Amino acid sequence: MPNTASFNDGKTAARHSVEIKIEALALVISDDAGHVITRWSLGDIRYANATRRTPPIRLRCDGNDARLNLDSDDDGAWLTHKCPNISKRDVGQIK
Amino acid sequence: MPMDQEQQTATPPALEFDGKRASFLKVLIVNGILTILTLGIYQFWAKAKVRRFFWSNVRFLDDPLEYTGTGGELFVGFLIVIAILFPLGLIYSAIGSLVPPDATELRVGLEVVYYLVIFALLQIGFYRMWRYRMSRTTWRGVRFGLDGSTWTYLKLASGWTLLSAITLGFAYLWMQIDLWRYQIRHTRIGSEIFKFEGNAKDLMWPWVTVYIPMICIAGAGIGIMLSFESYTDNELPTMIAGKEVFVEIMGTLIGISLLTFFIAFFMYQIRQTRYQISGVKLGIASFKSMLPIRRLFIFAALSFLLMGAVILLPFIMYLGPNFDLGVFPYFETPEPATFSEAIAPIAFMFVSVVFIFPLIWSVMFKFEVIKQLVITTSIENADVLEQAAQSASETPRTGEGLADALDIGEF
Repeated sequence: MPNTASFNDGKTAARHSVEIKIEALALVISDDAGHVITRWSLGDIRYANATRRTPPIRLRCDGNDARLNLDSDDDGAWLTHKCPNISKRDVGQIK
Repeated sequence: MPMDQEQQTATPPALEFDGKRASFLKVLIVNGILTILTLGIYQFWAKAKVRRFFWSNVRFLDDPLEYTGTGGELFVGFLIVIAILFPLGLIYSAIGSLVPPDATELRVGLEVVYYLVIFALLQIGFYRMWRYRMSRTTWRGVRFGLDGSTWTYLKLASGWTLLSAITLGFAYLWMQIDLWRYQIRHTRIGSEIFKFEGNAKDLMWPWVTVYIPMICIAGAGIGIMLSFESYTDNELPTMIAGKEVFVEIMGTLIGISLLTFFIAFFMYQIRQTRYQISGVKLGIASFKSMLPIRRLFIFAALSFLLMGAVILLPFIMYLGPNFDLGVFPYFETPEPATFSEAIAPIAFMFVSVVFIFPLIWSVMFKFEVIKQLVITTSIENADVLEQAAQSASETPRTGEGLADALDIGEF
């Protein structure tokens, strides 16, 4: 059963409702119709705000501007403990 | 309930603030300790932490702003600017030492050049500081930015400063609004550019309430100066006979004008901020600020009261039940018994000025200003901002440098 979240693709400020699930070593982000929008490698997933780890959880993928906002009742534990670099703060987040 | 009213109740505000004063205090205390332990070097990382705190607590259309800058960038920017400013300072000192002591005109000329350079650096530093801050601010992954030319901004600021000097400060208001217009017209979220609609003359009457006390202070000051006879290097000036009452009246006028000036300037600053925000547009989206004067005035007054209480604390502790404001200041209290007793109040004063006062001011007043700036700003047609598309513009690679070197900027 996929979780729901909202997604900003980093190209516009529009907010998209998405479904998310883990497949192999990636987080698969799909639209409501089930079409895959993007896949984030679990190793590239980071907290968007490194000092805030309480819901609502915001995540980013190293190397792009997209953001994923988990639902406010989702503490993200099912996902974050599978992301080895979740707390890493990359130098120069701005590309 | 009427339909319109129902809709207004149901719609959450576009801008919200989640920050807690206690969390901010914790950030500042940790920053303060680390800054002292590292002899000031940590201040760049401290700044980044404070910004991250505020940015992440401002939510726009339910999503927080993000600050993506780092302390390392600020530190590198500072080092680069110091590497440029330090040799310039040496050159200035070398030229200064070559000028003979009796060449007054040459010395004055050198001073003028020095202050002109400082003025230019301040303007450049200010604009570049905003460029950096905007480039490190994102919302929903879309970056803000500040385009425009630093040199055009410098030319604009120089022209207006000259005009302000010629008009004895009256044109200051027009300068503020015109520079803000330039800044906002070059600010963008993604590729969407903001604009500013406003005219300084709308703020003229509030500005007059600041300007009149200013002129009174200057006029009374000149009156007092003219009431004294010219003096030589070895003699103190003496008051011209019969001018005692005039000087007393002028002194009272300066006192009243100063008090009026501070209160009027405080209120004016808030009105100007409201006006500046309320003139900002982005497509059909328009901003409106209702920044409260009374509330901010109370918080400023409370901050000063608290600082006063902190200053009195060592005297109360030292004298205990014998504490009496009548024996204030410290010099009239009983002789301190030991060196540590004598040095303790001085050390306390130092810690108060360097650490406790900025802490009180930041937690009490600055925090409230930022909170009120956010929660009293409404945005009509805010949804337009959701259409902002990412811009491919280049972003600065290092931090604010000049702004840090010249200590510009609130946080």
